[in-house]
Amino acid sequence: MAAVLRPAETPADSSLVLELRACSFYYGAFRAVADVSLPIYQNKTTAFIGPSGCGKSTVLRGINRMLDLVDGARVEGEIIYRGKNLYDHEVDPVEVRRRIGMVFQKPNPFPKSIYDNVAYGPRLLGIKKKGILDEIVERSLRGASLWDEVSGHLNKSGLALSGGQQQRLCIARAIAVEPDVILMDEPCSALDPIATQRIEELMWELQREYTIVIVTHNMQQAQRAADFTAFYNIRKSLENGQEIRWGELVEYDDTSKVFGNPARQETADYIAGRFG
Amino acid sequence: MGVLIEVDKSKRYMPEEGAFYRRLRARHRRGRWSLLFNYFSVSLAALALLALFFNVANQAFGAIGLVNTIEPQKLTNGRPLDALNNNELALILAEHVSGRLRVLIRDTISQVAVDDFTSASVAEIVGDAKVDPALAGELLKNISPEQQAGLLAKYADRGTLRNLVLDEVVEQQVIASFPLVDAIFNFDSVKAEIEGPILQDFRRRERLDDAEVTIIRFHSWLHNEFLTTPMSSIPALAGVRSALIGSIGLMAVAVVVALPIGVGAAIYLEEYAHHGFINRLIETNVRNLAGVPSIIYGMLGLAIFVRALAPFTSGMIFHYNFDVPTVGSVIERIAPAFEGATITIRSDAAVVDVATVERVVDTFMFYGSPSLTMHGNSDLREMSRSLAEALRIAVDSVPVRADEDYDIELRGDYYRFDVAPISNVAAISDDTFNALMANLVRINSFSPNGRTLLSAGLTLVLLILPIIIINAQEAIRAVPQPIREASYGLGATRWQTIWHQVLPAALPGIMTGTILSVSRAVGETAPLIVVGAATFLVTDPTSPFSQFTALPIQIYQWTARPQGQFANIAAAAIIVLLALMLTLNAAAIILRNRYSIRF
Repeated sequence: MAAVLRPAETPADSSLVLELRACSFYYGAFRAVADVSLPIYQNKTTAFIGPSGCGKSTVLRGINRMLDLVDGARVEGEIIYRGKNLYDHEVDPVEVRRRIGMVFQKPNPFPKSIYDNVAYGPRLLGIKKKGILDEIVERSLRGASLWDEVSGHLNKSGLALSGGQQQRLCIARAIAVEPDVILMDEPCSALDPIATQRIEELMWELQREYTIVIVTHNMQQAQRAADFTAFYNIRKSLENGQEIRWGELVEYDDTSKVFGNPARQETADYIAGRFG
Repeated sequence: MGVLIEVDKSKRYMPEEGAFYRRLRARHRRGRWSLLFNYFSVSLAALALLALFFNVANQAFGAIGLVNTIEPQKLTNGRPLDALNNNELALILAEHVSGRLRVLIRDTISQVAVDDFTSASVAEIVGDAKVDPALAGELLKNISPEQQAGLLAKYADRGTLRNLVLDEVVEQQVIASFPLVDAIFNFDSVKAEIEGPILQDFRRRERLDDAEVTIIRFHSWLHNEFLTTPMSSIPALAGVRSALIGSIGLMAVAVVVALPIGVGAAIYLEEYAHHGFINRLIETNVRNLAGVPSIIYGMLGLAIFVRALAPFTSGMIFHYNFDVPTVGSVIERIAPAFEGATITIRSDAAVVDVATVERVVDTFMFYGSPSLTMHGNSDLREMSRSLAEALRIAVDSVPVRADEDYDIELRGDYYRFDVAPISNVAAISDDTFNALMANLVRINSFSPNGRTLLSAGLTLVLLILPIIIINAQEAIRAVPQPIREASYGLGATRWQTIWHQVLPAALPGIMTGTILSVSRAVGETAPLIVVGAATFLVTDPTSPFSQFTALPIQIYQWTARPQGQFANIAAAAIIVLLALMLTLNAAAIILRNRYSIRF
């Protein structure tokens, strides 16, 4: 799979934001994911699906260089972001993460007030004026459709909110630094169905302004929320009598195509719930 | 209840009813035994703690017997003290403490500032121009003791004079102290012993054949003055002020230096260093260092801070004045001990003014005269002999014979005083005086030579650094990883993440560890002895470059003395130390509870 997989019809209204070119992800000597190539289009939602351990979260974290924080982790290949390889040595990972934001599996607000949670990113970038920060906080909380619920008590601790509210606070925090891409790592897996629904609705809203990549275990969620879907699977082989496992990108296409008429049998099996 | 699962009988492994209940009883029995052992352990610990508190309280409080050095009746031919008039009272003072009359005048009736006292005329001092014209223009030191007493009789009121007689002449002394338990349950035999053998012994020792026990009463050795007075060689007058200030100073140095270094090291090890071989090696060593006996840190501190870095720790490179022992600075420091006093020391040990001799001895000891050593008791004979010996060495340029009397007297101001045989009252020449001072300077190495508060504080830093690092590392490690990821994910640099997220979250843990390690350091004795804590210090440390002592040193030194009363004040000092430690631990708990962040 050396060539970049492109969907059969490239959407005319979208331009390419990110492109993974033959990327392999390593933890030390262990190759966790091999040879991933795929495009990510602007203002579209791309879902990564696959069984546990297939490396979809690793790929996601590789995109905004969060993998750098893990001792011994490295990436081979190129991740081109708007014409630039993110793993070029002159690229500062701090800038990458500011442009490509992230929302995590478990809501992780800072142990600070709601206001300070949202203002944290802008403050890191040197914005100190109260008026500007106020505006950013309100806009971000509105953008994460949390404003109506918390506008009266912005000084309350972010940890005092419910799980779903905390996750929306994390989204507000992520969009406060005006990122280009938002990576979501199973954002709803710790939430109840109603909170999940609200996040999904929110993702529709966000898609108008941001490019979203989401890792999910929930087939329906991928179907509902994503324009494109990438299916990863686990490969095994015996080497010197020991079993080694790694993840591979199996199929990437329009969501409707992947779910309606998958090109590969294993994709169909996974979607049908026959394994994983 | 039907059978849930059909089981093949031949495949049963679990015990049947009889065996099950038998084993169940055995299982419960084992539990009861271990519970019993736990009870025993807890009781033992509680008992040990109680024994400690009991022991300390038993020593720190108790009964004392007081004796008048001179019975009031003897002074007054049997008349009650309250019946005497001013002149009679003043005459008693003139007769018994002639050398201290000027100090008494200064402290009671003088109308001039203390600094001007020695240069003021009699008329100025009493603030009365119509004073006896023969005396009015004279300096106080130039009129006779009887005339000085006359001034006291005329210008002081009777109550003041009576109290002066009680304090200065009658002079109560503690001759015996008994612990709390004896005082409460065995008071009669305590009384009998004080009034019997102890009194006999006191009479013989002090050559006061008709001394009587004035009062036997309850006494708390821990009192307000105990915290506010410095060291003294008389237990009843001794306090822990210098030691308390020393301990607090050591704590301050230790925290100010160890906290940033320890937290810095912990941040590096946890957040920056690769978790490889070298990092593991460092961490293992830090953990081992935390268990190194404290005296070894004392040796290290002695080698590094006291010796190698002496120019720094003694303040020399900051031109701190301890290291320029000019004649003037020497006298300036010694003079207050002599101020206003005339002391007469005979080599046969008849001492006129005990308190002054003590002060002089204390001062000499502070400046470390090698010829002056306290031989573990406050026997006046010993002390005055030591003092005379020290003076003889100091004034070896002055022709002095051992059986002569000396009069050391402050003259005019702090910068001049005379040492001359009483038979030859003329003041010694300036040359002799300078030779004497040069000798004093040579004998008394004036700088503590690196044996300063700073050196000791830095030694304690070495001691607590590993503990602070380990605690800080654990606190930093306990900060949830998602918080770091969230911060990095928003485009924070590593330092921004540490400063804004990791440190605030880890701070309560870091503070708790720091305070606990500091409270351990406060109780340390061995390294302080090695780096040269003073065992007898009457001046408070005023800077990091001062000589110092600390509470555990003071306690150690007091408990090493044979007299019972030092055990009493040692117990009182232990209470002070325990209170200090409890305060620190309470602070640690409050900090942890108030500022800890729950995720």
